[in-house]
Amino acid sequence: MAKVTEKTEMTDAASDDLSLEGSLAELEKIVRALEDGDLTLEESLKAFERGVSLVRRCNALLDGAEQKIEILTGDLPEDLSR
Amino acid sequence: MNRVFNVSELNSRIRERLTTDLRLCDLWARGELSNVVNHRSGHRYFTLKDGDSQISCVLFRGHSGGLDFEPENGQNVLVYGDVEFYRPQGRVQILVKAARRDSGLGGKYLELELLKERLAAEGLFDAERKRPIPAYPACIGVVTSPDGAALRDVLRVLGSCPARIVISPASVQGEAAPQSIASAISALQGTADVIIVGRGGGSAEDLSPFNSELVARAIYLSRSPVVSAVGHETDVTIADFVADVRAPTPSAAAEMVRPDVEGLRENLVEIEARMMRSLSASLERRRQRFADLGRALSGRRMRGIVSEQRQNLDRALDRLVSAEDRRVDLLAGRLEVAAGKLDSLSPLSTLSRGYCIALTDRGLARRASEVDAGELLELIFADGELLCRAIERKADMRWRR
Repeated sequence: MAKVTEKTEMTDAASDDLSLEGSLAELEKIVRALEDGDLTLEESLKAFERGVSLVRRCNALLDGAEQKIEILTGDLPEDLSR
Repeated sequence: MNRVFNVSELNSRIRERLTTDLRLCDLWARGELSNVVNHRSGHRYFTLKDGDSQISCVLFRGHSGGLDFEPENGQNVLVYGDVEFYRPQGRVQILVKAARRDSGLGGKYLELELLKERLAAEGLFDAERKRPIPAYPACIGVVTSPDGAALRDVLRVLGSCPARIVISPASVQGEAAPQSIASAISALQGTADVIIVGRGGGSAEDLSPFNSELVARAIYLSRSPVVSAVGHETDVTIADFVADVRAPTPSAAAEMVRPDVEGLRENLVEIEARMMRSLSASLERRRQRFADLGRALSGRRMRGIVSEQRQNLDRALDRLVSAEDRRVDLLAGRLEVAAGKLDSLSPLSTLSRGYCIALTDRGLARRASEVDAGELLELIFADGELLCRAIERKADMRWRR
């Protein structure tokens, strides 16, 4: 049980560069842990808070999406650069 | 003096000469089918002929996958295989591994077929190694010409999706194209979570870089899944066979790779609801458990249970002690010890040390905060119960969060 909490805290610190795919994978884990019902009350609340913040983060990522194009070498043709 | 061979030696020698000639291995031969025999064993025997020449052929059952038609007499065909010498009958024949109907196809086609056979045998097209496209890639790589229509189609379909798009430019036409495409694919390794490789429609010659071994191997080696998108729907290249997913066109490839944003939003709503449901269910479970515990600890029931167990023990002891077997006496001793333990663990012995249990009508009260001022309380002592009323709750800040 202590391990679960540790892990949650670790990902908390790294949440800034968490991708959509990573956030979703973590959400999946949180929902499963909550539904299994093996967490203590405190762990449940922590997991829930973390889950809600991840959901918010995903929604923010979706809301802020705009086309971001890069090119590895050379220049983008004029009609594609902005 | 001339050497005298016996037949076995002679045939062995001929066989050796034939099978060590590399020009007689992995060859294509063109001719007309005759004497086609489909043997019960699944092997096929036939003769390939033209003008005044003919040669026997055998296609073993294990190679029937190399046929894309049913052989019949009179068909013009191309067969692929090795020349070998069948010693028991002193016959030269072709061991056929694949055959195609001959519609006047050129050498390029045969070369391509050969490359396909070779790569397939090496496992480059195996279905088991195909990987799925990630649902929400953080970075989408695109290998194509920066000036082509394919790139514009891809970008238009991807639109403003929540992913970085990295273009790895390649020349997709001409001599240098295979190398250029292969380099562009490897340049995206470690960056892109999924890679679209392709170009717009063109002649068979225009698409030929995507039939090259270099491109096939670069796709094979890619650590991220590759979606091939070459030409139009009807164009199929070797790149399509190696790729994890084949898209009929560049636009279709972008469609497959683009994250399903609407689905994701719905998914998030669902996740939030599930978390809420399970959290409140877990809180409800806990409340219920405390209530059950409270009921279980209610004084009368507890005494009932304990006295019943004591009687059981007494009965067991009586039976055991009256028996003469020494082993039974020993067991009885153990049981007595166990009975002592039961006594010391039971809430009654705790109560006899001066503690009491507080119950409200909601069950066991474990905290002062669970009892409201003015509420009725049942206090259970070892020797009896008191009905009390809480007059006031004294706030003690040290224990509050």
